[in-house]
Amino acid sequence: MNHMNNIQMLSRLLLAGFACAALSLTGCGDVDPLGPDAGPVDTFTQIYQASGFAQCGGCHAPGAPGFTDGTEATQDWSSRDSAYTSLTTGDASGLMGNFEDCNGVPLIGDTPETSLLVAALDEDVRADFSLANFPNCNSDTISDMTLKIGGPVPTADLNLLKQWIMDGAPNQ
Amino acid sequence: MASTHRHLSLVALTASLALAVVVAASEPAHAQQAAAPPEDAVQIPIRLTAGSSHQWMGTLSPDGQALYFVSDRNSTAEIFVQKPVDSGPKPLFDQNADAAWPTPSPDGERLAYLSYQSDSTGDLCIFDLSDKKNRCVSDDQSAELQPLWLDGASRVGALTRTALHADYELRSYVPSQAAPARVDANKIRPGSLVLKRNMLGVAASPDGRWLAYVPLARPLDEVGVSFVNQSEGGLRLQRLDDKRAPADSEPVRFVPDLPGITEFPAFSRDSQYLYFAQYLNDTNADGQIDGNDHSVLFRVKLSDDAKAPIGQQMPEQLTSARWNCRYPAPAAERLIVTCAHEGSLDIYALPLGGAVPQSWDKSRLRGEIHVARNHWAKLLLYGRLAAQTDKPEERVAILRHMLQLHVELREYESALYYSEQLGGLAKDKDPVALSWAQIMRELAAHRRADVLLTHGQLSDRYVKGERERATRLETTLAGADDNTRALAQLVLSEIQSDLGHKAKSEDIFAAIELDALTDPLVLDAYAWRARDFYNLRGKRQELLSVYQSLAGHPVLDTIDRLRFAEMFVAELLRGVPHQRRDALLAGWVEKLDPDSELSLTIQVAGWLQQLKRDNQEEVRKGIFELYKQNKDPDRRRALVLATVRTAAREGNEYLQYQFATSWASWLKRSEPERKYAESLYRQVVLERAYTELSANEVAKARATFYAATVQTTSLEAHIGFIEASIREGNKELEKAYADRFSKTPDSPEYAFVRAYMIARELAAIEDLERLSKETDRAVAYLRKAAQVWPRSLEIEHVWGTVLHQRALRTASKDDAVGAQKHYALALDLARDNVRFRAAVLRQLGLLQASLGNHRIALEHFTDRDRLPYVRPEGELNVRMAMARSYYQSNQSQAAVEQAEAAMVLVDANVELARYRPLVQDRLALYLNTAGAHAKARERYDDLVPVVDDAKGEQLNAPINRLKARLGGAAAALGEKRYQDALARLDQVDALLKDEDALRAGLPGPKPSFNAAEQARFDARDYHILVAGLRAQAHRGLERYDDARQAMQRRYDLIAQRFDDIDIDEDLLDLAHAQYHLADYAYQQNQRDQARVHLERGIGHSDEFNERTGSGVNEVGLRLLQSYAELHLYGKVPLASYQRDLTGALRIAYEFICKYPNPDWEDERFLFSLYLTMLEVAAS
Repeated sequence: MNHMNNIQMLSRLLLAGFACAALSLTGCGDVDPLGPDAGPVDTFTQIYQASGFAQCGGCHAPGAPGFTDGTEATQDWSSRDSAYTSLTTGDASGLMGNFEDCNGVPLIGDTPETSLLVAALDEDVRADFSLANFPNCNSDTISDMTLKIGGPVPTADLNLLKQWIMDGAPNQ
Repeated sequence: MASTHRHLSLVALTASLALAVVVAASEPAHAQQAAAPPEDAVQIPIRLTAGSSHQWMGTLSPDGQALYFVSDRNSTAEIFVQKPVDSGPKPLFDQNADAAWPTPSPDGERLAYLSYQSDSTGDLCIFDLSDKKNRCVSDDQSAELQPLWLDGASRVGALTRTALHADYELRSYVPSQAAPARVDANKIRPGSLVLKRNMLGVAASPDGRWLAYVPLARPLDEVGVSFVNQSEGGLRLQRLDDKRAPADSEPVRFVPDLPGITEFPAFSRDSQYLYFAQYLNDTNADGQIDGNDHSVLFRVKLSDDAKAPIGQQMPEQLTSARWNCRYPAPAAERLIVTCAHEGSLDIYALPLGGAVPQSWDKSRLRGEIHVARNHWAKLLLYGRLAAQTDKPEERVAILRHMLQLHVELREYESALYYSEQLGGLAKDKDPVALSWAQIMRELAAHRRADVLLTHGQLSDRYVKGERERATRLETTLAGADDNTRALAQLVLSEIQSDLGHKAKSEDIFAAIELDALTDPLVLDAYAWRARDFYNLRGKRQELLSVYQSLAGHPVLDTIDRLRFAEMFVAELLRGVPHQRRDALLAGWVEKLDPDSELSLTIQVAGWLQQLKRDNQEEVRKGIFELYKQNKDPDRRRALVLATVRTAAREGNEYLQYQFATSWASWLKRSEPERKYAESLYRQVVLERAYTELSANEVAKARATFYAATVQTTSLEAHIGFIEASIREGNKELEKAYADRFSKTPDSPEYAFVRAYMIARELAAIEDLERLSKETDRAVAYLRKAAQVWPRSLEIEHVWGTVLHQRALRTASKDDAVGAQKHYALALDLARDNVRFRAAVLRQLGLLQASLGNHRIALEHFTDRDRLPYVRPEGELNVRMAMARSYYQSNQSQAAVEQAEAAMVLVDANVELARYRPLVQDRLALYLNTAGAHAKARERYDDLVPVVDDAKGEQLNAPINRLKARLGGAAAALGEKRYQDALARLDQVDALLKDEDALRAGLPGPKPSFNAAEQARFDARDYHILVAGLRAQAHRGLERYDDARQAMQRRYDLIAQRFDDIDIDEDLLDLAHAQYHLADYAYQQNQRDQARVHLERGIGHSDEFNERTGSGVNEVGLRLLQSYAELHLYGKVPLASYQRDLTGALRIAYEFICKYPNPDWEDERFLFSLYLTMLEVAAS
């Protein structure tokens, strides 16, 4: 899973570079919590720190101010590591009403097209979302998360997330 | 008596002002709000000005940094500036006179305008924006009507006339040259003539080529155009760069291909476009199209062709008639306009290309039309679509829709115009469309004739005209296709009905075969006629049958079939008891094609009929199954809107949220419907939060408010989140916000949040210096937030609140004025927000009441009272405030009514039980003042045991026990139960003995805008009160010695208080006490002693007048009257008088004659009589 070939590594670095350039206006360049000597920031840390995902912790974390009935409860964005663990090992839970059919669906999935997280953020993925094990989790029952964060996630952030999934969702 | 009573300080019913913001935030709005129509499909003009006044003639400086406009906020029409544009308005200069037409020079150095300061007919003046100096360039021999800049900034022009009936002319002036101070009529007039012509609305193109104007007709030589103001139609474009003098060249005639009257031409900065306003229709239905009707802005592109710069192009519509915009002022990047919208005239900004984005192509425009929520938006979009369409058949279809929409909007001039257009287009090409246009023309003309009939047109003329119309229509029936014939029959049926031929009308209507119709617009017309026809006759089954047919009609779009399906359901359920509805709807579902729109609509209605709080999940599931089965966007939209509407009405936030989220999530961002869905979602989220909060589901509300703060920059959501978090006991809120905004500490949202947090703590700050500093800090944050959101209701509301809070504590009138200003702005901005409007009105009322302006306060309270109350505590709060203001306005009976309503609320709501003693006390007070002494005493008698038995509570404090008894004593006195009153006063005296205990319950000194109020009320004050009441009781029992003793005690105590705190009003109380002492002496036949008391009283009264600059006062008048009567009727000789009775009477008499207060009517008569008697006696 964590073993990457050179091409994957190269594409990831390139993508990360572009994403950072695109995000320079939103603070991507100054968010390294470990300081300037900490070395390169891994992809998931970039995702965690990206502006497009900065709001996640406001609702998806234990005791988060925006957590309420119906909020997806598996995700835990309170720290980088808890976010990684909850996303990569967890299935959706806590969804209610029109959206309850997506409970149990893996949050990340094997590909961006089968990722519930991506589907919640990308309307094209959501429109075609289909899982054999969860036939009722589809465009009718997936909530558009961009409604809840005030607008679309920046394309660069979304691409970073998709690439990370394509790369096997590594913890680096 | 009323002035000597104080309210119980039992409980603090009136919440702190900061809490008032909370109350505002915690009351859910009307359920209907969530289902309110979202914003238009097209761009809504952005409001640049606000306030309860009107703002108009807005224009931007060339650099776009300043907005100049005229406002009547200070009563006169003055020029204001907002620099930067989004800041608050400031008067540009102070002339204390009307001014108009602010017109910045192209170089931005100066501002031309009209001043009415020294010439009531108007002077052309220049304000130098750098040295801030004014000079006027025209003289007082002419009336200037409008300024404009010519040749860049080198010349300034003015449309002018020299006499009342003179023709108009355009003159130009050198801006730096002031007019002579005084002009001899024979001398040469200042400036030079550019063009002599009767015109209005002059505008010069920035490139110097054109002068555009509205040409005015002069039908009579002897009457000037000023009196007629009759446009010759359209605009004229006069070349200004022609080598010949402008007067020698013919202007280009431009009559836009539009109905109505053209006004307000204006050129774009690049001189490429000519903007203008068009009054298209008689929107106010007064029988004529004029400047009182709604205007719509258009523009046309200008070419280089000197003879035909506009050509045959169709004007591009920029605004909707609903917005009623005029005074177009194109700036570099946006169009500044003045719109009369929702009851206020304000300055707005739009893109230069108007409300419809220029990038929208035909496909997008069709999509937007499909989802547009109102006819005006559809018309605007159709207009743009028509401009992009060349194919005649497409244009015919568009014009048909436009014509139909105008008829439905009752815009008959536009309908007639489009019928002409359509007729012209269809002639020789599309005979069906031509016939349709002709019949619609007859319909529009008929309905316009109906309107004219109500404006005085003679009925015989109407009858004759409509009979002729009917005859014309009948000729179209023969040989016509089904649709044309049906349309003609519909119009004929309407005409015959209006002519009173009911049977004929019915026969014609009955002859129409609905099944044969294939034209959707004719079907639509049929539906409207059927509704009127069958409703009038109570034929419900027939109407249902029509709706059923239309709801399944194959030629109609899904959206139209759904519309008729909804009309069917509404008609089906009208008046049917709730318990019968399920069965009725179920019966219909059985009969219908399950895939039909009607079946879907009935099934949704069936589920919604059952909705209750305990079955919401079952209902959701049922509706969601239907949602999933129906993928068609129109079907889903209808299902979602019906669900959200019903859920909102039922106060069910769960269903609203579920379906608003599903709907918005399913639509892609490129879909025209998506913006409506997002708007609905945002409304629902906020309503959900309020509903949760009002249901005391605080954690849920907190989370939902939080979500709303993330989804939008809603400051209202921040308020909700803060309040809910605090209710939860969150002590780390400031830290949480600091963390949230750690990367953006300068965020305006954060600034607002900090200001709000400070505002809600202000009430608890005891130290005035600290209070003042914290207020300043809050204002600084608000100022910062206002730079980004200059028209924020929340910011203005909190701003008003913090200043109000400080004003109450420090009695600062500046703060009170500031609070009033911000509240007024908030009120204006809260037009569509009932929740905030209610809160602001209440606070405005409280502010005015605290200033002693109780009548103004009552206006605000009354407006507040017209809005719904969601929580009984909110209503109780307003009722008590209203009662107090009525009481203070000497309207005791109205005060009683409000207090009684408050008592009903308290009795009906358990949670308000703690307020009962307070309401009881106030009610008793108001009853007593209104003369209902017995009822008042009964209320006090009820109150005494409640207060006495509340052991261990603040309610049981000695001061409260004392007040309840004191009130009872006053009421008993009113009933003339003197012994009873004295017994009650004995109890009061007993309580007064323990001054320490009493003092513990007394409030500290209270700042007030009234110095007397500020200083009064400690234990001594109660002694003074008791002494006065006791004296009255003894007087009633004719125990004059006891009365004198009590009154003397009262006098001595007041004198002591006066020595201590030196309050003017005490002089009046002293005078009053002497008046009573004189009375007792007189009753005991101690007339000279009475004289001594009267003279002492007059002395106190005179001192009061001297110290306060008053001419007379009520007590002084009564003393003087008695002083005169003591001599005239009591036979006390003038020789013993130590004061000049005649002189004093004369001075007072002259004063009360000079100021004819109706309250002094008796004194005017008596003093005149006494003066005469004194003069007679002296002679």
